[in-house]
Amino acid sequence: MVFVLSATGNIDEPKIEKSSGNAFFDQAALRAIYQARPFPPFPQGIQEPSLKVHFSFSLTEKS
Amino acid sequence: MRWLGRLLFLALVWADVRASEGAEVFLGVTRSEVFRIPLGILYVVTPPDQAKYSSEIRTVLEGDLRRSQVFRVIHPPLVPELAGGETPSAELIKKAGRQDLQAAVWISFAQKGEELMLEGRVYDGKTGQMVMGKRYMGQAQHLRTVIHRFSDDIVFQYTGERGVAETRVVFSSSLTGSKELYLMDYDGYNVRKITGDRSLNLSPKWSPDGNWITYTSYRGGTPAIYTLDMATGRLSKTVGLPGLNISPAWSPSGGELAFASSRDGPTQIYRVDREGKALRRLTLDQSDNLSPTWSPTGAEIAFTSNRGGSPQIYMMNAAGTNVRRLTFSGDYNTSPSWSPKGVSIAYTCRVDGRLRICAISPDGATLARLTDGPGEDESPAWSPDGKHLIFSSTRLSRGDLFMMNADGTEMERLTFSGAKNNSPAWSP
Repeated sequence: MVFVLSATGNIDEPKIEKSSGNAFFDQAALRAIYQARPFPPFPQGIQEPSLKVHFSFSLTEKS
Repeated sequence: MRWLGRLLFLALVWADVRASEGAEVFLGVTRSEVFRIPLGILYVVTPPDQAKYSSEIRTVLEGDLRRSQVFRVIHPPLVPELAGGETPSAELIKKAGRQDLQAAVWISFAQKGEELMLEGRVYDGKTGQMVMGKRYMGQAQHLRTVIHRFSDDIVFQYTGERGVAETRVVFSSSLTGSKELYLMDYDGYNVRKITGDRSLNLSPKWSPDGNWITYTSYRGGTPAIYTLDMATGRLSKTVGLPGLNISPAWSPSGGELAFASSRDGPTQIYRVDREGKALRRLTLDQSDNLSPTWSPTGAEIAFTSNRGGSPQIYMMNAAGTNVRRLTFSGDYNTSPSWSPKGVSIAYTCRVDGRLRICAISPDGATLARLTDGPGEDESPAWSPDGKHLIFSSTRLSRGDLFMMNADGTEMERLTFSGAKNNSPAWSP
């Protein structure tokens, strides 16, 4: 997923940057980002007004 | 998913962010596919003469929590210090939690006359800190409901989404000789008859607020659509066009009812408002179209049509435009049911000559057969959290309802009446 995170904790529309190949999983990842809003504001020390976040969700088999 | 917010916050604190334009961060999370939070019920405290309730409380709660797919129920050794009935200390919880228990449950129950009181607490197994504590009161005969509510509260605490243990299922049964509608708890308990039409009552569907059940009935001779007010018991006729009126489905907003009618020849899909007015025809071809199911946004409707020569699942906008075919595998695909989160459409498919439950993503890209085994399976319906499917099957009998996870695992039989039970619908 890719989205832009602002210093106030708001995000713009998250987009699928690279699909997992499984529509169910892609949707679950998008939902996770929506449900995590609002994000906390940036900690002090980060000067940028916004950050472009690439967030990857991976699923592995439990051995 | 509050942990996601915290994860990002921490990542931003630690990330080495350079002050350039278009600063970018790369983060990720890996989840083990079958991880479930290990949970154990440490103790159920009851008055000495009511010890018999302890095992029922354990059984019902463990079943609800297991079905939520969020927890893995384990049975830690009994902690003798808890027999005194006092609420556990953080030290005691940590000692009991050494079996790698992440969530520890403690319950105190008492029944006084016709009333019961249940106090439920959940502790973090590692730190011993209390995560939640609630008190429930109710009528003695509603013990199962109280436990279901506690389970749904625990699931909400851990996931931000309520569990479905308090929900119910309506279905059609031949128990009395005709086909009447019955209601039961989601786990198959408390079965009760809700219609007395002494006729054929089929394809019940819940209104989105759970206040009405709308169904097809032959009580007037030809099939018409009726609505039962669950609070008052009042029955009203909602659609009675000439010919067949079948397969009703409420829109997610509750403002519209889609259904199939043969007033113009072959069955077409129509929609009306809740008063049964503002009738609009949606399908326009010369084949049979029926079994509409709404997408959770209310923007689209999937349905069964044999316009291509065999029964297949199609999709269209809620206004009837942009009709496109969804299923291309097999010669018989019917009874679509759109999942509440929108990611999947479950339906009855015929595979190797036998009816099965299949699921397809709305873009048609991902297809899965969910059931196998003896007999035939049909009429899937989703739980309101999209985690379970209920369907009817002749795998063990003339027809009974079964529940399974959305991926087809952990199948569980729900009805045992010996009659033909089918056409289930899960309450909101």
